Amino acid sequence: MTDTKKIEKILISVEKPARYTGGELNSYTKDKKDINLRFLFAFPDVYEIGMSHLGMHILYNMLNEEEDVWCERVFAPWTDMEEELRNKDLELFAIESWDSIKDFDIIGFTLQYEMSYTNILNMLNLGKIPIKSKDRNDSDPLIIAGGPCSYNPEPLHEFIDLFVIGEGEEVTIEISNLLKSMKKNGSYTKDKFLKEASKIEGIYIPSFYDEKYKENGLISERVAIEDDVKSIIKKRIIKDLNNSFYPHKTIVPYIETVHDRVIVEIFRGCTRGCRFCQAGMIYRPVREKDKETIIKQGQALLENTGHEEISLSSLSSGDYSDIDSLVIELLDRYEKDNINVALPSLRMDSLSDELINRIQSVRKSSITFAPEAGTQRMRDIINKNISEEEITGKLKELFDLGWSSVKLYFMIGLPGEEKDDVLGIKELAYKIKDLFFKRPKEEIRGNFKLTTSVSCFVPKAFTPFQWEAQNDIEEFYDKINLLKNNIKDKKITYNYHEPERSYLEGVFARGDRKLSKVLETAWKKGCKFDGWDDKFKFNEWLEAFSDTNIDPDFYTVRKRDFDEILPWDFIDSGVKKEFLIKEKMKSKNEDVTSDCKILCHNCGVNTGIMKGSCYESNS
Amino acid sequence: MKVIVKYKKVGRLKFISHLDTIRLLQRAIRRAGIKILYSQGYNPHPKFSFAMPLSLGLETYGDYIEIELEDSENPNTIKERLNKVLPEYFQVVDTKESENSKTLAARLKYVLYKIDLELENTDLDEFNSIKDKFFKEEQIVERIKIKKRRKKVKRFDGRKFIEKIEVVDFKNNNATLKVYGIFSNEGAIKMEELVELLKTLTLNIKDYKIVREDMIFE
Repeated sequence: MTDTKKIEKILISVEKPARYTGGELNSYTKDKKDINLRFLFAFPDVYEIGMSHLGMHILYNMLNEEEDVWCERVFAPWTDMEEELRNKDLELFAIESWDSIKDFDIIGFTLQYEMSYTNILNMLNLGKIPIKSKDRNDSDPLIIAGGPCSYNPEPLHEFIDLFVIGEGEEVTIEISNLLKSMKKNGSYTKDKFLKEASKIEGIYIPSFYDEKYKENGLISERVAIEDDVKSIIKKRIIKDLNNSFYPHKTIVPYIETVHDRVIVEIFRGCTRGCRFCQAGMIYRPVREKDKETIIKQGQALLENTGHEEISLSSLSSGDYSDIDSLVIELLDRYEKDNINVALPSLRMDSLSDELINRIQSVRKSSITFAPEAGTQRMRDIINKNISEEEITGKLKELFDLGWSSVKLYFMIGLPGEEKDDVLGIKELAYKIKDLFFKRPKEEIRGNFKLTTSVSCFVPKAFTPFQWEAQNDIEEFYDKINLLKNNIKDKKITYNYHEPERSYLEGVFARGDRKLSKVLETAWKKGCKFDGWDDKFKFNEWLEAFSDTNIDPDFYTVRKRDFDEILPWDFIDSGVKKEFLIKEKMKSKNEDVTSDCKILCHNCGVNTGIMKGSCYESNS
Repeated sequence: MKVIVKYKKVGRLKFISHLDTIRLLQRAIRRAGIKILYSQGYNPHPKFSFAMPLSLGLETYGDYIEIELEDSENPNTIKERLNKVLPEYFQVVDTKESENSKTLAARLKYVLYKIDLELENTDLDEFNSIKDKFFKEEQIVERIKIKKRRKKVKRFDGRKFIEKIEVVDFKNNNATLKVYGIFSNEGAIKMEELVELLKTLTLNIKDYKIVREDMIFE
């Protein structure tokens, strides 16, 4: 039974209690006696971050539109709340019903970044649910997971009962229908359910397989230990986004979240083919929504939430085929109502002059460019097809129109990087500064501000760089300090990401089954909220590696051979390995690959998963 | 046209801070399609003002805001439209037109609270004598505020901010009080602070619950 009084008592003593209270507009409350399935959507980070995640809003509303399903939410409690829960011996509760997370039929974690893994274990433990799959029985909730990190699920194999690979809309309903029917006719046992579920496309049950290793730690083979299970798991995709479920209302949080706005997804996938980018590979092929659908969905969401901002979401919004007319139509509709149109992930070089003029009349925020690398040579290696002339040309135009604040994003530690490439970051920043000031005096307006942010490259599964060695921490610091010592200009702010975390992320991004025990050990040592600067405990992590006799360097600084069995090889992302190898070889020769809107490069997604050409012009 | 909106905020919504309440109302007004005047400037914001903020954790059955509408409208329909888009724990109780040029905060005289006390070995006579003592001598409140990581202590006579305390009900060690708090340009006392003062006057309080009931304007 939920002890509302006890919960209220602790809520009054924690920071931002509205993180845990629920009851927001457009959230669902249902009568438990009409419910056949209780689903809990779990986000392993704080409320403010989780509530800004589009996928959660889609799945939450989709499940709740099923009459006999009640989907609720839970987020990682902040450390003050955790302390209160543990002190008062209360279980972590769902924010709608305040019932313990243990009372649910199924808990679905979303895996957005590796640094949230310890929070998953911590949340299960706070719900008094055994963290390991093998220790949970038929009366415990099923623990499932999906999201981008499930493309390399093995580090979590001991904890998660079932992984969803790929896009979740259809498969989530299939899972919930299966579970509902088994619970209804009394045939449910955890084992039977997992066996049935494993037949659904896109579902991976880690306990049905075993991974065997050679003496040197490499995988020798993967074997099925259960009869009749697939050896390859194919990702799921939604073929037609226009007719796929999209919420017409979303929950309106009471407290400020990372993004307080309406989000309309305009397409999935990306045609650019940047070689470092996992999203650009795993979300293939590109599928666009019609302009009419986008406008209609945006309008409904604005009406049902009262938000003051509408944002278009995709991996690279400027690549939407009708972006100009879409944005102009949105501006025409909403400018007069004080509703702001936000365009994140928009490549400024893709904007037409008309659009730039229109955006400038609304709000002159800062301009963001992500050249990712400082030299053309390096940008060719990573296939970031943007030239210095394109950046400076567009910036000159924007400066003339009155913009004065620029943000640049770079990575260091990219394959084949040399000292000059790192210094190229500084060169580019200085060139942009000169571009601003070396104009006629009367044209210089505003207060020039340039922010250069540098992050440490983490090679990811399913990219052409999946075989690459990551820089070690020392190499990263050398490069960081090289820039720190060279960027000496009051107008240029230099930020960098700490390499320790990128190193750890690198371990898990390409990790295997052996990492489950490291994760468990680190969590037992108190690691949680590893993505938060003030909570990250690198020393404890290093201890966890040494306690379990696992060398983290094996996963990061080691270069892989093409014929090595990779821990994620059993997943079919639609993109063929031959394509990734071809891209890797081209990158070595500093050859670029064009946008796949221009020419199909046969990555394989059109023949394997999409069945048909991605673009009519390519057929 | 100015409209005064009286609302209640109860249940789970008591955990919503004052700033979040402002945003909640702004959005509700927008969803209800009520056109209100916006301030001029770079970042225009809707024109509305609160009578007095409410501390986090308290329920209220009578808080007030004043909004300025673009066009004249029947205040009753404003209430209906807002209630349709507001969550069940946050509802408009009453609306009326206002022609007063002074802000709500400037006109606010008393804030009414209901306090339920769970006492130990205390009868009404004893309670009344403690209550009388309260008004007879100075009642020092020490309020600690942390501003920019520096502790600041504000000391004041809590008595100044209490007009009267009525005993509504008293039996078996359970007392229900109606407290008239004074809201002046010097501020106000928090009811938790009043409870603490009563405790130092040797009132044996085991548990208590505070609810804001209403406000009285000039």
